[in-house]
Amino acid sequence: MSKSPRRFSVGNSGITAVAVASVAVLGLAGCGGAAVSGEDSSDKPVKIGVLLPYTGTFGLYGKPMEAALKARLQLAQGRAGDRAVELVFEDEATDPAVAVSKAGKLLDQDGVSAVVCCATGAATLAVGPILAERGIPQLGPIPNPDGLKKFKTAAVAAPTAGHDAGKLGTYAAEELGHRTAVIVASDFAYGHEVADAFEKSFTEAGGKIVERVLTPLGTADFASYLARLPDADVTFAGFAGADAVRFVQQYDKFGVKKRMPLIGHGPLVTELVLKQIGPSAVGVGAGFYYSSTLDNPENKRFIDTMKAAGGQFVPSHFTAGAWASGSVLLAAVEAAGEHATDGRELARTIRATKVDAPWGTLSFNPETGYADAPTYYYTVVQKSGSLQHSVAGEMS
Amino acid sequence: MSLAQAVLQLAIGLSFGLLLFLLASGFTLTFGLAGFVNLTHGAVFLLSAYVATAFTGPGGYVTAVLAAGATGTVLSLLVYATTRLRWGRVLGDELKQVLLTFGLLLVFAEVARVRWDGLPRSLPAPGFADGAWRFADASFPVYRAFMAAAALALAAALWWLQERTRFGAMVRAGVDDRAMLEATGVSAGPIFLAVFGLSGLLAGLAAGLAAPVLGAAMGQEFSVLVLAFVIVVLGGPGDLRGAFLASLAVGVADAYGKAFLPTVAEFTMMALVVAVLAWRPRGLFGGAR
Repeated sequence: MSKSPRRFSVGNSGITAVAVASVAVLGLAGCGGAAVSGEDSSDKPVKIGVLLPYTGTFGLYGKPMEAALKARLQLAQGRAGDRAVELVFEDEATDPAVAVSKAGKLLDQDGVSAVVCCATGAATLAVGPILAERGIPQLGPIPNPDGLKKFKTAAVAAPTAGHDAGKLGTYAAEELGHRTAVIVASDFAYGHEVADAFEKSFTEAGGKIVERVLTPLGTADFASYLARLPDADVTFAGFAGADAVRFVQQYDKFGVKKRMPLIGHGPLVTELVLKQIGPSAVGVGAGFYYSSTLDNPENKRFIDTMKAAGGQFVPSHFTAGAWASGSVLLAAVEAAGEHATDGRELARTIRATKVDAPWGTLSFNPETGYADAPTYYYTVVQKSGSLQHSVAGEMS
Repeated sequence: MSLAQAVLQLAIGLSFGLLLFLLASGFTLTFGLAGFVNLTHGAVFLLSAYVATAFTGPGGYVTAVLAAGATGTVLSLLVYATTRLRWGRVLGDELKQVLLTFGLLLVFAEVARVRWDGLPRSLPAPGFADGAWRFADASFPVYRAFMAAAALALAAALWWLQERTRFGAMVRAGVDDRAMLEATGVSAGPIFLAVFGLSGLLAGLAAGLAAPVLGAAMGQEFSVLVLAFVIVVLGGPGDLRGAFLASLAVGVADAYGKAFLPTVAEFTMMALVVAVLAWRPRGLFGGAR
């Protein structure tokens, strides 16, 4: 019964302060005068800022990620241990400059204790130094670019894209038995990262890269690239979004799939694009840390909770990552206890946190702050009329 | 590169080029006739493509293409109606046109993002053109050939309209000298209206025909606009014959560029523009005005 008064947040007006104080006194009296000091900071909710893209190129990810974070918090009744947690959402607009100014707003006006940021790689990197300087923890919800590890207060709840692509390189050479490969990837940071990682591990495992083709972001027509691809055992593709849809479709339509199997990093055939790619995606393999078909209790809890919340929910690593970020923060705030509002202490706690994520156990590398997570290999299959992932297993 | 490779790349380039012509023809007509820079052209394409992807059911293909054409027409007329509100001020002033149509472009693109969540979408190829022809050691999708044939038929119809009808004669006269056309007693207003509608129809049909190949995705409003600009600059504003040749040239240059120099493919198209402009500063046929 002493819990209910603590739900009130402390406002600025004197009246609220007096009211809260008297309610607190009543609460203490009700508990029979427990020994709690008067300035107990744990009465205040811990505020967490969340920067997500609601507009711009990645605008589609904002709302579903917000829903996943909210659902995760609601599942914990809005509390981490005995402290209330409050989320403050802002739009990073797929734009590093906007993200920086919104981060300032979250710090100065809202007084947040941690910031979940961002879905846009460039925004994540731009906000990094600001939060690091203020000693406020930053938690990246999805595979953010490699570049946050120099900030001790930063952590990313997912492995880097390069990490998963690297695992796939070894797996392709050793388990799938491919000796030669062609790499085709988008000509920007993401494409370069997965192409480099795949090439490195594939060649280290004894494979040979026959050719590497980088295509401009937003290529409308891949036909000419595809028609000239040299022969190899396999094609590795690093595409996301609309490029992934067109590439996988045209790879099939131009008959290259019959000649060489296609594998890629997760986003190539993520749940968000699978239906739009259509039957052309069947047989395509991917290495990634998340698939909605992963069979574990946390993934089931995540998907069931989100589906129960209504609406058209398509599980993907974006929403699963937001959900897991929520789990991490709840666990860290609880573990930090009265130090939860001390940024550097909370950051240390976050890196030491270990939770169940929809893709398995999630812990952080103490050196880099990036998540240590399993990487799975799965292929796309057509099952009872719909396309889905069939998980072959974890890649070592 | 083997001969078979070269022929295959040529086929890819020509099919893409014919599609580009549908896209650019409407743009070049409004530009040439009214001196009107219609930046919404790419966004009209985008919205039409998204509308087309809604008809994924069996037999939905024809409906999809027609619906895309209708969407394009309606949107383009909407742009015309908006412009008409301040016709006098907007007509001779390119900066105002750019500002107005850029605003409308953002509105259209935002509508697409809100309605379709910004997700990329696609339209399955129709049953009659599904599959591929074996060619050398590669395949050429039947649908691409169908798309090219449909675009060629539309281009022929457009040529007939332009060269063989009274309406076409008035449009050509308007492109050459609008003041003189009006002095002969022809009101330019209805012609503008028709050309805007036609321009939207062509962009919409292009989006519908291209939907099984290019799909619909955010960002197209700009990428498509850039292609249209390149073709108009190469072919000369208002010049359909120039736009036709420029479209084929851009399509083929793009295909060979990607095949020979994949790393700098984006540049080959612009290199073509630079080369042509250095040689013919007013477009392939010297420009219409």
